[in-house]
Amino acid sequence: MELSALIPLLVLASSILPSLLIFFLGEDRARLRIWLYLGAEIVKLLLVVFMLEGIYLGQSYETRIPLLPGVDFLLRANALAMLFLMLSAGLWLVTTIYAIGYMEELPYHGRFYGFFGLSVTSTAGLALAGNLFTFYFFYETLTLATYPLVVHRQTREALAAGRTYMRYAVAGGALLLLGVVWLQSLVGPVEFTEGGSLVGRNLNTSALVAIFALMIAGLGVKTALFPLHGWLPMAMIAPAPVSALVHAVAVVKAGAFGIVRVVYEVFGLGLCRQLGVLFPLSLVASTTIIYGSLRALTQDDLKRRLAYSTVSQLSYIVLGVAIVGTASTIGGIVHLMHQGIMKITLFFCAGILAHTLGITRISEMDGVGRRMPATMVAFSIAVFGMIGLPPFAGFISKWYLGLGAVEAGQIWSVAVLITSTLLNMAYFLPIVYAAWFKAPAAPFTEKLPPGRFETGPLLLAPALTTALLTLLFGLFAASDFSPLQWSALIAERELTTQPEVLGP
Amino acid sequence: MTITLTHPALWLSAVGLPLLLALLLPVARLRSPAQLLMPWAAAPALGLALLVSQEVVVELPLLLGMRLGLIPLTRVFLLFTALLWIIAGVYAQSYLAGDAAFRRFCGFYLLTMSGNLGLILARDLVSFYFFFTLMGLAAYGLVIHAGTAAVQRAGRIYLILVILGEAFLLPAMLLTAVAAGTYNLEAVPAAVAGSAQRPLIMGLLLIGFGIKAGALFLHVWLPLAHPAAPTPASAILSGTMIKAGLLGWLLFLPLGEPALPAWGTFCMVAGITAAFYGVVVGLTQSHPKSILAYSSVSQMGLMTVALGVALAVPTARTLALSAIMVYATHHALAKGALFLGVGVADHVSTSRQRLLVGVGLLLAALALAGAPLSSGAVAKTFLKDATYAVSDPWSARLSLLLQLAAVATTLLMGRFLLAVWPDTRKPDHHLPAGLWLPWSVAVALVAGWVFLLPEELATVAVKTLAFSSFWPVAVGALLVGGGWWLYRRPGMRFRPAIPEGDVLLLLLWLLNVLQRVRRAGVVPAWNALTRQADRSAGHWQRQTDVVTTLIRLEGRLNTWVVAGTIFMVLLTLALLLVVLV
Repeated sequence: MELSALIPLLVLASSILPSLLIFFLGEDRARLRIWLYLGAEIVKLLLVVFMLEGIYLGQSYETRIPLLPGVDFLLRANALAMLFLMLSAGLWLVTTIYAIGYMEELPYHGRFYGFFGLSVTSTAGLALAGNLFTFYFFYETLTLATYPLVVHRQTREALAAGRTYMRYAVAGGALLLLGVVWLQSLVGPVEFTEGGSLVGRNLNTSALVAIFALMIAGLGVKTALFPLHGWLPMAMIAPAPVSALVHAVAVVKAGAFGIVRVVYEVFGLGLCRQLGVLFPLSLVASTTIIYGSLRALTQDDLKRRLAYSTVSQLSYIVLGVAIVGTASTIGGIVHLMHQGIMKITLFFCAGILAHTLGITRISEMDGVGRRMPATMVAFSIAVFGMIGLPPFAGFISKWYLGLGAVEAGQIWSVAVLITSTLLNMAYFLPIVYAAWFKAPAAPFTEKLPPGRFETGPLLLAPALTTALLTLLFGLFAASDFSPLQWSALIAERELTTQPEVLGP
Repeated sequence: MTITLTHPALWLSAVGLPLLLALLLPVARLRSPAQLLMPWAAAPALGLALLVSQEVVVELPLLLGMRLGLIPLTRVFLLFTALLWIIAGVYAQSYLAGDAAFRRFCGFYLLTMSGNLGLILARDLVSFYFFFTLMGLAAYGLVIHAGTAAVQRAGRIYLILVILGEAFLLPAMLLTAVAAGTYNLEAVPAAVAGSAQRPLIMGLLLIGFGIKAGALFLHVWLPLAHPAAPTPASAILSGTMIKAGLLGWLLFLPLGEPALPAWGTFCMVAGITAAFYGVVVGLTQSHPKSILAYSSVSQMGLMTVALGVALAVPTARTLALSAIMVYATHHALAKGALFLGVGVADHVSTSRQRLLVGVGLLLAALALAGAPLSSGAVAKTFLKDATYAVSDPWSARLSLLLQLAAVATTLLMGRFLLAVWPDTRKPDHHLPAGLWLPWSVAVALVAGWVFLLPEELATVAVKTLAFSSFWPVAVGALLVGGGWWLYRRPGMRFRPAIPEGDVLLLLLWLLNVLQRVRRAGVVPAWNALTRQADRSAGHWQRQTDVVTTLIRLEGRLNTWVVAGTIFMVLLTLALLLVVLV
């Protein structure tokens, strides 16, 4: 087998092999486990960067393993896949460092890291999946691999949350399977093609609409579209590294990524517009955006507020997909990466606050900026990014979404974005204000022994890194290496007709 | 060695130096130097304003393609803005010398400075929006510096209105960007003029920038925030920051082609109303800074009139712009001197100081009122010339109204002087050089800047010796004298007092009523709905207990970790086999 066919497999192997080994290592071989893990992550990151360069230059990486007649296990890298793969590989490394710092007091490390690795493998497989079958396969393995992470603490609430999660995810998976099987029975094996693989075929439109609805519903569970979002706030019971990974990288982005794939690379944007499915999709997205933010306003638990914020922000991506235009496509796709970076920063900081000071509620956060300045600086940067203030990353995605909405003549989507911005300000800014400008009601309970930094350095460094990235991705969005430029490349390849785009 | 003025680093330093200093503040060892250098962070910008005489644009690889540069209009704005930031900064170093939170003040001062300078230097849409937002949000920290409950309330209202302004500006920016097809600011007015959604865009721009500029009914934050902030910050807020809103109007609105008489008339009417409204409410205030705040509302109204002229009469565009440039410069320097004078007057300790400070304040107040030979008179002359371009009979009416507005301004300035005049000797007060030195510079600038300028302005200055500049001030002074005498008579009970914020209070009363309605009806309904949603989720869980039992059964396989691992190993082996075969 040639190198270009081997590399996707190697990317998957680099995360699955150490995970399996870790299962056998036992609980007490902590250092070997950590070195194995970090080594594998570096290897994976190198492979991903190598592939990135290749894809930019127009090379292709494809692994095809025929399983049944008409059903291939297909891994294929294209520009869109690389965006998601880069996000997951990069954030996996950062989250591992954070987890090493966080997990010291929790039991069952072997199990944790093992399934952590399996989740990331599934995410990578999802990113690289070249056809609907492979995508579905990894979609389900992702559910299975993340369940043990959600119920890690094994308390009653954790198990209840895990149950809810499984119900939602399995039901969603069933809907997706139905859609995939139906489509394949109509047209045969469906591979992801830039521009849409169903283009040009004469098919029964009502069947296509039904299939689209089934797939979006199935993917919508993981994307937390209203009203399928109920599992997400409950899954907050998981340890912070899991919430960070789940809410920034693995599960929720998998759903959003799936929707992007289905619209652009299965149906194609033109066919979607013909079928008239884009307007209902944008309605659902808009409803979710507003609903998530409204629910977030009333939460006092910090992680639950962040969860509802995730519900809301993910639908920015779906809204970008649903609006026809280059700018909104760019905005939606780049928000995959930007939202991931910003949300993971917020969850890292939430975890630091819980771990160091036992703070889980926003009402307890008065004056915490004085005690933990670096953490709250990272938090504030991420908050400004989520609100969409320049020069942070969130502004770039919001700007492009707005441009696309105006170009497409959908001014009401701009109103949705503005309302969402205002709501974001309403539930994020009071936290920042309380942390920096209010005095603490009582001295903080220190759960960790005092050290040189305000908290464990392994916890702080990842949060500061992702906060810095939030700033850099926005400030240098015009440079050739920014996620924005990569998203513009993706949009160029995915959209067959390209109206004028503004800017650099 | 020639220093090329087009080097990008120079322009980046004009906006970046304040940010850099702000970043140094948290570092313990660099704190004092940073605080010392704080006012001078505006020096590169001042240098650019003084040295750059042609239109320049440099490109920087930031944001979505940042372009910084100067055109004649923005050069004037940059000049008085940078000057005032430096003067107020030096003043602040003495004024807040013993303040425990001075470092925090410096941080917000520098951030706001960067935003203010940046939006003037910006030559593209996105950068303008970025710096405008930065300035607006960072100024919140300046407003709430004192930390008392009243100040926090003022800050909250300020923030709400800034955010509201954002809500109007962002769609305006997006619509403009799409209409223009580019981010360059040069292309914007024509794009707005030619757009199919011109009314919408213009409405959004007028309101969005109007909030910042203190336009009528959007001004409610101004009389709260300007007095609440520490005196040097008030000088900046009134002197340069509200001009940012004005600059936004000037850069984005289609002045010139085509004629927009409806919008123009609207602006003129709104402006002249604001001119008188500000005075009427300002007369009822007792705190000198509140009086000055309402004076700002009034003066911005006059500049809005000039804007209206430019909108309505394309041929008068150059005239109107000149009028606005002169008026903005005059107002910035005069208002800055007046605000700083309030702080100086507070610290006066000897009667000699009292005399000198009084004279200084009188000079600045006369300038604002438009006494002959002052910058105010020159500005008002330019304004009058611009209004002559409007068609009759409006032209005559406007002239009269402007004269009456001058009377009104004099009245207000008289009220201000009466409020701020250092009353009794306070020997324990101390007037440090750090306060009176920058203030004197400001007063000197106010009194003398018209004479430093090219011949056209000097000849206009001489023109102001005419009677038409003299009588409004004289009438106003007489009225002030009469009012003061009446006021001091025993038995005078008519002392109206309108709390700062005027219209806002009406709005708050309305909101209170709505709040009661909401509490009685809407909120319980919403809570019940969400509780029902949560309950249903739980209900569904209980109903599917068969699944629960199955899952629990599965969970009891405590060798399931191994089972799962074996499965994955087998799968991997199978895949490897398929690959290699």
